[in-house]
Amino acid sequence: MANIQSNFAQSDAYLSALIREVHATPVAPVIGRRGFFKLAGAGAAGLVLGFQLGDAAFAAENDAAADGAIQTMNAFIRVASNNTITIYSKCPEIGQGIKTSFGVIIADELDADWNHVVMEQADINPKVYGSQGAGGSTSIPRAWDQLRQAGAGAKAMLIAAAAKQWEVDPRQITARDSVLTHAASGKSATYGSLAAEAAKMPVPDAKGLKLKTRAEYRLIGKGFHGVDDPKVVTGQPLFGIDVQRPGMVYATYTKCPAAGGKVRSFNVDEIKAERGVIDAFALTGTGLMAEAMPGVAIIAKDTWSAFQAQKKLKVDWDLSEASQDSTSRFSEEAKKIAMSFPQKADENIGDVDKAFAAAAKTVEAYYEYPFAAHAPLEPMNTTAHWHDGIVEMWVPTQQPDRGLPSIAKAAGLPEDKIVLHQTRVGGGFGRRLVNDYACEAAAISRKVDGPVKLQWTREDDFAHDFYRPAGYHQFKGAIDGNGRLDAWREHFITFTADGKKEASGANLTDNIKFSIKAPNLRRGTTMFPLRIPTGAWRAPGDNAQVFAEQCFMHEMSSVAGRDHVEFLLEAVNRDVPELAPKDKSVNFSPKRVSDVIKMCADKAGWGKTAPKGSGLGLAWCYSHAGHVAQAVELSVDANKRIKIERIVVVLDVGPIIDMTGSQAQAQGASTDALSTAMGLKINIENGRIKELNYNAYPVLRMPFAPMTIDAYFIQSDNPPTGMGEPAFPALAAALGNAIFAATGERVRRLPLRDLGYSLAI
Amino acid sequence: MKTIVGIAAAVIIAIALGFGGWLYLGRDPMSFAAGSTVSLADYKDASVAGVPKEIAGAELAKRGEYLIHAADCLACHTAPGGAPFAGGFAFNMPFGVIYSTNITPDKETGIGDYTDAQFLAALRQGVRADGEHLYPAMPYTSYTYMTDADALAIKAYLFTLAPTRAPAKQNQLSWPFNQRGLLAAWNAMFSPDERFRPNTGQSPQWNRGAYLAEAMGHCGECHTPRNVAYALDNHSKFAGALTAGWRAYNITSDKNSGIGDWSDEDVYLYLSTGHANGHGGAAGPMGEATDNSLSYLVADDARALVSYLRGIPAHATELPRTVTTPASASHKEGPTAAEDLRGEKIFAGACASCHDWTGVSPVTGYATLTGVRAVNDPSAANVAQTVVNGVDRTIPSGRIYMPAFGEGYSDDDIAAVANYVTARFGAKGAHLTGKDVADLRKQAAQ
Amino acid sequence: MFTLTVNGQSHLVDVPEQMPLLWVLRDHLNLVGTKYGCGVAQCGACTVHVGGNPTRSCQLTIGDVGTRAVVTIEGIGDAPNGAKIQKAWLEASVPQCGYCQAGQIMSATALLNSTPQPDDSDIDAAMAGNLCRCGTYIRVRQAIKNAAAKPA
Ligand code: FES
Ligand code: FES
Repeated sequence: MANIQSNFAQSDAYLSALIREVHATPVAPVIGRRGFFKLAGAGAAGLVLGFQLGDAAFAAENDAAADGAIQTMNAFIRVASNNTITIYSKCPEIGQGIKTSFGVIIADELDADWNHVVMEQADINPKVYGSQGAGGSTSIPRAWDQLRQAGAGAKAMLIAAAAKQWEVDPRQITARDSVLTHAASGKSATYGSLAAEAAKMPVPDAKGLKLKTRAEYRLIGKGFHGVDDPKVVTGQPLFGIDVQRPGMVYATYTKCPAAGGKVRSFNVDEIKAERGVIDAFALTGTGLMAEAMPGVAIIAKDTWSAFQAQKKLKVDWDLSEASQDSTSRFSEEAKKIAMSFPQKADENIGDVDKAFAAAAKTVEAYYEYPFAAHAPLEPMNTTAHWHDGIVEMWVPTQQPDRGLPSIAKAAGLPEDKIVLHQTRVGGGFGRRLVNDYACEAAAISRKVDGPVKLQWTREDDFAHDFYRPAGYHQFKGAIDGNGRLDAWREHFITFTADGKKEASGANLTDNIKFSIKAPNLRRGTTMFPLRIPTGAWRAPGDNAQVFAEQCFMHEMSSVAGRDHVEFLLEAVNRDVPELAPKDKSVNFSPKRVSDVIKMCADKAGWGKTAPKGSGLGLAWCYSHAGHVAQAVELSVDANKRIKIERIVVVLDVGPIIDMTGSQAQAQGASTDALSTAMGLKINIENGRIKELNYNAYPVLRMPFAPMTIDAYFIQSDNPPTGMGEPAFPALAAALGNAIFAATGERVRRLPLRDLGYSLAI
Repeated sequence: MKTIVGIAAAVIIAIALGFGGWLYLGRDPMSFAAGSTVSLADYKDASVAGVPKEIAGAELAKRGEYLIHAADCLACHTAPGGAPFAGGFAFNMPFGVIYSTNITPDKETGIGDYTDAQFLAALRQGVRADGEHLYPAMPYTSYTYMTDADALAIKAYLFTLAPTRAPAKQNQLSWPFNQRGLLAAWNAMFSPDERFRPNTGQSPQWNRGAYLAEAMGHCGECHTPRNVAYALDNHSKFAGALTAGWRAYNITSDKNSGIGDWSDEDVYLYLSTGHANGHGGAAGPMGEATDNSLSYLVADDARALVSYLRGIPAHATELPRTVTTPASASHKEGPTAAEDLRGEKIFAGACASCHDWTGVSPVTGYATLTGVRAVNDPSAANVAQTVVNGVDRTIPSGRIYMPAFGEGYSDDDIAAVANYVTARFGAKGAHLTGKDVADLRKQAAQ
Repeated sequence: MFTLTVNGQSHLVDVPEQMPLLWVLRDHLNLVGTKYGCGVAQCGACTVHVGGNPTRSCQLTIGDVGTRAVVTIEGIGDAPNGAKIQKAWLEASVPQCGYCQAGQIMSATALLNSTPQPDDSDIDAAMAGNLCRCGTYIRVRQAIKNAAAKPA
């Protein structure tokens, strides 16, 4: 990792000092009251430079600061007289590395000295910051312009201050590493020394700012250490679960094991008599799964007492509206109806029936994949404190801004009475796009005198997830006389919660819809009603649909007797009517797909002859605006044990911000995808989740993890897109295709352990 | 020629009769004991039956409650998650599935209409109210030794329960096992239909233990091997057997394969709590027997059981002597199961943090594997079952918990880890295959 | 009342005997670096050193700790191998969400303590019990090797 940029130097001595320094930081409380950001001109959405000096509350805090000289340039940037620059990351850090990337983007435009940049988590204030969510790999693309403008705007103010002081033309001033220089006069000054004056300069118009071109980046594209890593490796409090408040009590919240059940009564006296228990009460909540469902709160002196009491809890549940869903029944039903294509097609291009009649070859196959839980390692939790007419909260969430209305509703307060602090998040994967646990904590806090931390058990976490929905696909494809993909018919069987549209995360994704190009195409959907809540799960839709569709593509190229890569390239570049994507931001490009496929094939050694029992599989996807190809090389023994020889990932997500972080995401998402494809599934029986802890949900462990994953990036001038998800979806398909190449057996059902496969050591 | 055929036939008949006689002789569970027996009425210390003195004065149903625990009716007559005593628990037998029945006092689906005589006939002769034979999954060949008073106390207790409507589930038995009539012949051979007779050559404590073990607790139903007719073979009394996919161990006084080397105190602790340090803990059916039955016995009764067990003649079986020394702290040292390192890797991930590479748990004595019979059983049946089903028991000193891995791990992986564990911590490594584990899963009740 | 030595400091805690060490550390001693992930010894996030051995603090009751010294992620940097591992983690940029990493570091430090030059199988044996939902295994393995390669 030679070219990693550090905001702490590489020398051992410095690292030791850094660790010491982190050690010396007092442990509690996690998040100091830093003064909640206030706006000079409220309501100015997108006004990134709106947060200014002159705001009395903040000016006072500046004065009180130790060296008396910290200047606020805008909502993202503060400059201290010692030239330390504090940058605020507006979106939650969930492991995707956003806190580092956001800093890099701003620091690059600001021409700040990265070694003296300190990153802080911004509080929640969508009026100042705009969207503050972290989901769908959208944080980077959404914030890209805004952050660069924040950096460039602050730099312009610093330059203006220097120009005024030096009485020179601002255009002749250059910036580098937090120092401004006027070459002609030989004058130079640090940002720190100019900050006070700069803060008084007029705020430049964001649109008028000239942003750097790719060639001008100094930081963007290099590798960086995670800005919070020193705190992570020394165990400093960062996460939601780490929040401690003076006088805090601890809560569990127990909901009906079958989603939708309500509390009739519970053994309240027995629970209150349990050791360490302070109180126990039932809540009706808002009745919405994404908010607060009915349940029983137990308040105790510490987490363990609350957990112990929860084990003794006996609730009489009203099951009249509770889920009776059963996954085995869904599987059976889906299989039964798969062959009857729905009357109404969602998409219809050309004439598939005619194409089938005229086809040189046709192929049919049925694919299925199960429900899956997110199971992030930090179980859901929130700390809430009802005081002075507000509820102050510390929430590990992916979607703080959009959570506000629900939380306010659950608390029974107007939105402006909710003060939300975001914490680092111990894994998101889409689970924390829903703020149900925060809503519960808000509701509980109204009944507790003092701060309360709601802590779910791991079992609660598994039992009350918003699961990746299962899905079932019946395909029929046609190959024409020239061995080309000529027709594609797909019956997608999925779920609906409201009887009208697909349940959350259960729709066929836009990306999939228009990235399978066939001159004749027909797609239809059948939906089963579902009570179990579903939701976005790392690369929603794509995470399993790509497996089904890209494996079926491989079935077709095999039947056509074609080279798979050639077949894919031909199909994606076919001149056939485009399906219009619903989402305008979709920037699908056949060229970019072709490039990643070609590079992936090249890096993986496509075309070389594999020894018996070995195989190479390749698949691609367009996911979350990223163009991705993945290849898996493996061998399979007589016991169906799969030895992964190599995994290659090639991505085009525009320019890379942080190469180290992007590599980590590519490796992490591929590992996650392998883990999920091999072993993960959630079974539901009579509305109850059967897998309640990791013993039943075998997340991949070290001995079975790949030794290396080779990630390559095709960088371009396209706007950057996110890295959290795109490296997930194509892996399972590449894996399935490789198994076929090695064994001749088609795998059409996930997880593969249900088909007897396992990873070799 | 005719003569030869005649002789041959005679020999065959003689052998058959001899074999039959031998089988027949194996039906008496207490025949091993020296001394002569008398009827209970003629025995000097009548407290051999009934409840202990602590509750002798309690009302009938209360005494029945103690006895129903001693006879362990609950475990078999309750389906997982179902109402207590409402039946529906599935026994997976080699010849099909038998379900236990509802013994709550529901008049239609339970035993609400049973007279005392009908109850006694069902309990001790295996004949239900409508005259049909019960399958001997119901241990009437053991309960037959119960006194009238005790049986009726149990009935009195059952009749205090709320009636639960729970129609009997249809057994799924293959022919000819679905012919209940055939059981008459089986009963003639193997159902003694006689009451407990104290042995005057033994101590009153021994006799109390015998009554508890045979008439009530029916230990032999799991611990005594079965003969070809699926009846208990008391020639090998308590020598251990595979029952419902779990190994019930040799509990004779053999020093190597039995419990001859255990101290009385350890046997006592194991029976009353399901755990004895250095010997590990009960799981599966024995865990249930402890939790539902043995742990309810007063100390004197548990000690009476110990006294009785001590007298069981040693019967050596193949089970090797238990290894009592810990394995090496290094994963690289010590025996490993063949060359397949898979078991080691799975152990490292899911097991080592509680059981340690040495087998001596760093977190709780309950998780120590050293000295545990299950890991010294080269069939690894109980290791595999425990891995599949986990353990979740609460005893006075705390919770004994191990997660169940059956849902998340394949049969192959469970076989690999069971082979590894038995090789590393036991006397001899097992050679289970994924298929064996699948079979074990099927055999387990429910 | 129990006397507990954590990171060289002695504490008096008034908690029930059955309370797992994890919750004593987190809720009563304010040492929240040690994480709760599963509560059933399947994730390793709660790993601390007890008497020098890596131990799942969610399983060890306070009553069973006895006089053994406890070292947590907050204190492991004071020991040479702990500091070495922490630095290696920083250099290799191991953490993603970071939630599992305290446990990973405690297990890895224990590994270096017992096996200064671990091979891949040693790493598997020591680290397999530490789940990482983010999939940082490749860098965890690399960081351990880097740390082992550094002079003591
Ligand atoms: S919390 Fe202890 S191992 Fe998971
Ligand atoms: S870094 Fe997120 S769980 Fe390991």
